[in-house]
Amino acid sequence: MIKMTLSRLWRFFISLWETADQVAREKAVSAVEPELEELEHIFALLVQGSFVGIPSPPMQISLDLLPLMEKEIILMTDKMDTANEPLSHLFSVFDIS
Amino acid sequence: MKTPRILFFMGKGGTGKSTMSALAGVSLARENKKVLVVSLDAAHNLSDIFQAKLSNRANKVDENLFAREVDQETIIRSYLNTTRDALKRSYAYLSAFNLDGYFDILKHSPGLEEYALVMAFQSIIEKNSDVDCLIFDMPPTALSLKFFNLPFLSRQWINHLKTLREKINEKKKIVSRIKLAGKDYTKDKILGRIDRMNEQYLSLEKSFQNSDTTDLFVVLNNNPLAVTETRRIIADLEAKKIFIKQILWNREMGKGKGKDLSGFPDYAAHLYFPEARFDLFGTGALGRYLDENGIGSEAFSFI
Repeated sequence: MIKMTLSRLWRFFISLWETADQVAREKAVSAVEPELEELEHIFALLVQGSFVGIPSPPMQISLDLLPLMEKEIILMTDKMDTANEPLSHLFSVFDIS
Repeated sequence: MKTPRILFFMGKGGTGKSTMSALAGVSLARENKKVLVVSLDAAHNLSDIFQAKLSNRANKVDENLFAREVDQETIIRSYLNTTRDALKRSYAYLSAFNLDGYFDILKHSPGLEEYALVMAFQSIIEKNSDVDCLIFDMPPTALSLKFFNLPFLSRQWINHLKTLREKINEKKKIVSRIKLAGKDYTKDKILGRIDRMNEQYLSLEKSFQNSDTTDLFVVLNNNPLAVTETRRIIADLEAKKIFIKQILWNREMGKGKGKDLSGFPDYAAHLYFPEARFDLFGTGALGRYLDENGIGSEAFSFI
């Protein structure tokens, strides 16, 4: 009986530890991830900027990279939703309410 | 594997670039050198000058002398088809919705003329290592300068994109290390592609600048516009550390006597080609012109 209780307790502490660890890890990268996303967005804009009318590299550079840029293009189109409210996006990143 | 000597003939339209390329070809072939003259100019005057039907393959026009015309449109089409196919492979799931056909519009992408010339140039260099001299009859100035500018401009973009990509990868590694204990980080295909492009353009840039393997000739005549345009060509190339070897004055009867050569660099030699008394059509006529005017292969040969 005691053994079972101890085992349950052990599992509980392990799960508590894992959750706390996960939360801490999420918290640690919460500022880096949006920055990374923005960098990828800038990269997509620079390479495929001709889609939205900004100067772009020589056409062959854009075309050579295009088949590898699925993720960046999705990110670029997603960004269009928040493009009108950059400040609110920034506030949500830094958790300012 | 030997490296062929590369000779470029450029200048204002109508000054005689194709004739000079053909004369150089005939002159060098007479010295038992295997020569391939390539027209990169869409006007394609070489077939008229050699009086031969030329195509996208090397056609023999005389002993040791071959010529071919590059079809820009075919090269652009083939490149865009390759890109379209790569896109279709990457986005293969779109075929489930019959949406992959939308990529077909890529075959109408503009602004690839100079890249088509660069692709043709690289392919010709790779496939003709058995040739002693490769002579390129270039298109008129604007496109020729874009051709020489392409590796420099592309490398500026590539270097900037590379720096940005490295920064992205650095951040990705941090996220992966903290969140996933480094399990999810895979090699970045985009950076790999950027690195390959960088190598390709750097090698092209160096081959343009290497005066041991590459000779640049500018052709002009007494037309004041041709003279000023030639000065601009020289200055533009100098800025990229590409130096003209010879300045060829076409239809010049006075052998340059009393000519104002101010504004031309000291490092480039001037050579004068008198007006021909007969039509320069066919290798026979070209050879006769060289003999009558005492122009030997040393005019074009720096080997």
